[in-house]
Amino acid sequence: MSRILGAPRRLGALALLAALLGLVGTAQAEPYLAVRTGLKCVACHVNPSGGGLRNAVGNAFAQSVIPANDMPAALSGWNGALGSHLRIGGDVRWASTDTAVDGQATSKVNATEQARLYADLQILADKLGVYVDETVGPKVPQREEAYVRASLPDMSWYAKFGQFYLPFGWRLQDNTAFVRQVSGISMTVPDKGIEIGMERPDWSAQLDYTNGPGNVGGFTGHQLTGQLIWLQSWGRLGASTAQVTSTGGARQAYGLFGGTTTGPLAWLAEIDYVGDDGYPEGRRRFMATLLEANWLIWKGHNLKLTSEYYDPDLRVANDQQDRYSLIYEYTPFAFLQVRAGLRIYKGIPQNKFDNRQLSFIELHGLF
Amino acid sequence: MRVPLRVIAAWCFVAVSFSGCGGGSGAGLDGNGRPLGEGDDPNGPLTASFSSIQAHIFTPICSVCHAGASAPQGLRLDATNSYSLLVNVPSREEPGIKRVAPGDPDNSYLIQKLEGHAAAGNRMPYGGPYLDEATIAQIRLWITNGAAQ
Repeated sequence: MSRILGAPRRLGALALLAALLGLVGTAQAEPYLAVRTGLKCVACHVNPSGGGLRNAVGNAFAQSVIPANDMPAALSGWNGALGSHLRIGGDVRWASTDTAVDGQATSKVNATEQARLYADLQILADKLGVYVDETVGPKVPQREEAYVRASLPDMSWYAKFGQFYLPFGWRLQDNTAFVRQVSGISMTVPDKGIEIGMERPDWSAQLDYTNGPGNVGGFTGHQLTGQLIWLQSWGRLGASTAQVTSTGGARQAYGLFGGTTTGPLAWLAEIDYVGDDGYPEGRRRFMATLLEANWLIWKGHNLKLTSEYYDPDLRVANDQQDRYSLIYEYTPFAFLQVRAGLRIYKGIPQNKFDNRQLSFIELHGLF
Repeated sequence: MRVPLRVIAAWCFVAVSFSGCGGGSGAGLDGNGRPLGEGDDPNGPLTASFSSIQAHIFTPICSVCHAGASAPQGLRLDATNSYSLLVNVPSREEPGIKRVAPGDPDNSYLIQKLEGHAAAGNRMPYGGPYLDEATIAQIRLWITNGAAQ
């Protein structure tokens, strides 16, 4: 390890390379950092509900607090601002993943998963802006978020109009987490509509009226999504709901989530319950939970341990699934993160796929 | 180094949360986790028929996300809806391409998404593991043969 830490030039070059490669990754968001520091999402991100482009404070935080080492001299001073009205950023993620399923050959995938660029244009400083989150690779460009944001200068109230990710529970980087799959709301499923938000010292709240991600093609309807977060010195608690009206069947989702710290550990927990009428047998009710511990071993070194539970149909017994993850995250410099991890799935014994194991190494470049 | 008691307690909590779990027993269920007799049982080899593909692929893998009122792209891949939302239906991401074009697997968006060369979006199943060649070959064959229900 000392040899690695003693090679800042090589790692600095790697960070620069990663940043120049294409800028990817699913929109970065690590809510444990907010819990660990006691900060709101809006403290570090342009988007008040978190994820994506960082603001000036977020860039300074990412350069000074998170990484193990100082910024390479060539890259120091970057805060995302291009002039007084435009701010940009990006993410790039490469991953090598091995998947083992009993009785099958281990599959291996090495790929650049995604490259993204973010931009925020301040038309009227701190009052009116345009935000864009665009996937630029490895395939054709695709719009993830694009909205107009109007706000009071202190962000005590704001509104977003356009296409954006919906607020529901912890905005995890891992979009395959059970709670994100079950809720149907993650940073892979943007929606179009309007969001009204409120930011107060102890409270954050969002209320969204959108089309509903499933209301396309032959299905029509809308989705009402709401979230309320209470912040205290010991941590935070939140509640979410999503009410979907659809010609294909109504859906109601409810979530409770919280976070706190115990010494070097930052904890996240969430429980989601969903009832959905859009299944062949009629209404299906399911539930998922998440318990995540993040251990700050040293500055720049985080060990993440998660335990997840998923009941795909509360009416059916013996069908539960679990998932356990152990992930080591090393952030040598502000623009680079290396993640290595293992995920173990546990499901019914007659389904080998639900009992698979994933091991992976990821390289994230972000700026 | 002295480890604070609260850290030990926290990790004990983690250890406890990891023990005693490990998935359902599967008693009374088919391979898709559904009650026996409710749907096609995925036991047995995958064949190039819609019912087999539904039982082996769409129901257990795809419909984890692609089901219900919040199905991404409105694509529900449960046993009741999948055929009518796949065959001869334009893709939402690439409207010029049908999700399943009978007789033409290369120009079927489903195949492009499964093989990872669709023009837009992520390879499916999202987050992997991706389907192996032999499995995709059966889906291709079903489409080549006319994508019958």
